[in-house]
Amino acid sequence: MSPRRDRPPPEFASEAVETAEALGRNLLLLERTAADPEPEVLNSVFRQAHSLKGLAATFGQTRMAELAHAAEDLLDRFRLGKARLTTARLDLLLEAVELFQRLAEDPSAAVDEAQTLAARLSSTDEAPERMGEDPLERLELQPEVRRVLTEFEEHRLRETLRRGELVWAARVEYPLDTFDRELEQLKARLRGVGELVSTLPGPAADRLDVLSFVLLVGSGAGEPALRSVFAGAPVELRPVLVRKERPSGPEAEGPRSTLEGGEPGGAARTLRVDIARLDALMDDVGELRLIGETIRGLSDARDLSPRAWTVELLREQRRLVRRLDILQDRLLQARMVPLRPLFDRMQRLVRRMAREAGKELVLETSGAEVQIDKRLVEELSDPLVHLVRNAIDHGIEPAGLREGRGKPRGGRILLSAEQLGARVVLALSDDGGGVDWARVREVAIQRGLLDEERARAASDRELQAVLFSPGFSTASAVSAMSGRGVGLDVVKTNIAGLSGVIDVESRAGEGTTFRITLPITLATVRGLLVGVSGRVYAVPLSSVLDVLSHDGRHGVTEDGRHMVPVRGYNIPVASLAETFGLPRRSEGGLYLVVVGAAERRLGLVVDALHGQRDLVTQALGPRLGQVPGISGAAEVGHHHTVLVLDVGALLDEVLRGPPLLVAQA
Amino acid sequence: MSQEPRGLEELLARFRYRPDEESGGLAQIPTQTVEPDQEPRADELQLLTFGLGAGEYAVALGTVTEILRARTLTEIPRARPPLLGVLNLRGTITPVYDPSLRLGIPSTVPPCAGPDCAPPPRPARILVVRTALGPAGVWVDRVRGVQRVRTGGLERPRGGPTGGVIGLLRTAEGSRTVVDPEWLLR
Repeated sequence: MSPRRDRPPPEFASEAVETAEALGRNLLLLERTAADPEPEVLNSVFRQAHSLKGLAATFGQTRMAELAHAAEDLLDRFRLGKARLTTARLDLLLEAVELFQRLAEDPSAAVDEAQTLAARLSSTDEAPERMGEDPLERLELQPEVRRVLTEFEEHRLRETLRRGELVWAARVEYPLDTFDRELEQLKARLRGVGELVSTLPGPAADRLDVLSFVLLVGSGAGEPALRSVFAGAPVELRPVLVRKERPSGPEAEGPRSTLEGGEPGGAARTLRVDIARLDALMDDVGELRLIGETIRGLSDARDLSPRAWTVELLREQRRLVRRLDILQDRLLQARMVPLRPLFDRMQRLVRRMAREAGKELVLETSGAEVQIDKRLVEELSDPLVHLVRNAIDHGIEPAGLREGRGKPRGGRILLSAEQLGARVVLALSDDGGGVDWARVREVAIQRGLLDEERARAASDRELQAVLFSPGFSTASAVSAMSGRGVGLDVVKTNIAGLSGVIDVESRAGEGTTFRITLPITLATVRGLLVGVSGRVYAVPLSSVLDVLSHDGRHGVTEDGRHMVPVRGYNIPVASLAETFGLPRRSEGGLYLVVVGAAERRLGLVVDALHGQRDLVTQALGPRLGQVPGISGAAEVGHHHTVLVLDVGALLDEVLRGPPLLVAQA
Repeated sequence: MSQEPRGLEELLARFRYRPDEESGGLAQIPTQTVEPDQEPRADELQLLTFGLGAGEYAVALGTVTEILRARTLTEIPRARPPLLGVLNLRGTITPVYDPSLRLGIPSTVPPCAGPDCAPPPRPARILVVRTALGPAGVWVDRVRGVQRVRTGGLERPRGGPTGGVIGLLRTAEGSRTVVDPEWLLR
């Protein structure tokens, strides 16, 4: 069976992922009311599992269907009051949600895991709730076996495990007429060697005159001793494996979930679009056809005077441009999706990582309804996971320490989104220990990123640039650092690749806030083209706050910073030519392009303005890596490639000092 | 859509426009197909030979994915040699390097990025090399052709390969240094 043949159509993947996401969301909702779950929520969770099963079965996705079936089963028992909703079970169900998503994107991804998990879901029969884990949960019994065990049998199996003995599964075949005697004799022979816990019907035997059984035997004796007891009778004898890991540890083994940067699968590449939006697009296309017809008619119109002909042509051209504008807008709209699925994923991630890290914390979200470009959602996932992981591992202190600092035991992480014009600002704040700037300073000196003098003079905010620089975030820096710095350069590069800007604000002991400012769409980035010493650069319009003409005069502050009054405020200015070390080639006028991120402002002095363009930006690629001041490139015409400025990096550089790294060969 | 100021097009044209790029669609980009007509024999090496400055060099043919006619590059601000600039290779930003530094010879690459550069000399080519970090370009003065040599015919440097020099090839016309193209990018 080739995995390729298994691959379901992309519609399946996107619908399955959506359903799974909704299921995950409701499960988290359930958890909050675990003591007294709302029947309505329970019902909808059950229905979601059910429809997932149906969906998977329709598309021949047996693994997923089985898993969904097991989840549905368990949920049904919750619903009917037959099973209690426990954290361990919720864990299993949430684990299933993750698996659904992985399976949706790649049906061959986690086949074994799916099976194991389905078994574990099915095996959560009502058993006495104990403190700690149920050893039975670790027993690799087939779900159909597990399901038929009586409470007493389960109890005996538990006892076997508690004694440190093994559970063996033996398949035996006995003649139809003597099987009861044979079983009695076997039981007798087993005495002293082990215990026959359960006698289950086995698979149909080849012959009609024999009966097949599966026996579960608890025994501390070795295999030879057992075999001799069976006296050649067993067709098969094998120990039932006991898993080493805790069943509630969702990431016990196997590949990590897609959250940790898996291959973008089918679902990520497909998009569900409201049919009304498609209809509108179709209308636009119809209109364009009409214009095409008119223009064709014009080419035949020999009776028109050249002047009238030109007028007609111009009118049609304007109609064409107007309609293309509308079409573009609609297409951009169709690419927009809410952030909610991403936020939901972070919820599940936080829940799991907090458990792993042994920390108490909650993730609160706001602005999940904000819509951004589908591709941005995908590309944001990795950086966000990184930041969340950082916050949990290094930000939030252990509960005991927090109490000592007069904070609530449980940490709090807030993930929020807000749309501001054509920008979206995502903020991730934690109320943890904050960045240890003194330590950052130390490490920066150690690693030769800053000389001692400059490091001492640097303010905490100036040290932010160090935090995001590649030289800082190496493995050894991490182990040496109690604060942050795990791959923040990668995060920054990713964000810059999205024409975005990342900013950090942190106070020791109070917490840390990362703020990511992004354009709402990636399909095209609106850019202002500026001329500097004969070069052309693009500034993402989402970072441009103001454009003014400039007379070249500026004041100088005590520390040598150039300032210019703009609309009543003094803002720092920098000549882009000087910053980039370009020869001066003034072409007359000077302009001030005021750019900003968060509360920071900077006036960039440029020679010329060349209008706005919709740009399709490309990353500079891994070979060049982080080029200070540049986030990517875009083609603005045939073979004309311009570089797109990285406003965040320029702000860092001008407001905090020269870059730590210059474009490397 | 937006009214394009005339200035931009003129400006762009002044330092980027090249007549031979006009027809440069996809088909025209490789000015030379580097497909061997025969399967190479096991003990044979196929070399792409090129000239740079006064020297003659070669790289294994398999390492080169494409040969482009040299064109004006987009300048990377504050780039240090040997990085010359970048070009947009069908949507992939590709850095281009000057190999002279690595080869220890004076650079013959004219200014090729930014507003002050003249059109590159006609024979100049950019060899596109596939690397783990994506494609990269090597600027050469001229491409000579493809040469098959017996592996035994290659003089290996004494004491194993040094740097990126794989060996020396002596022919009637003179000697040719065979190098590892990735080494030229560093």
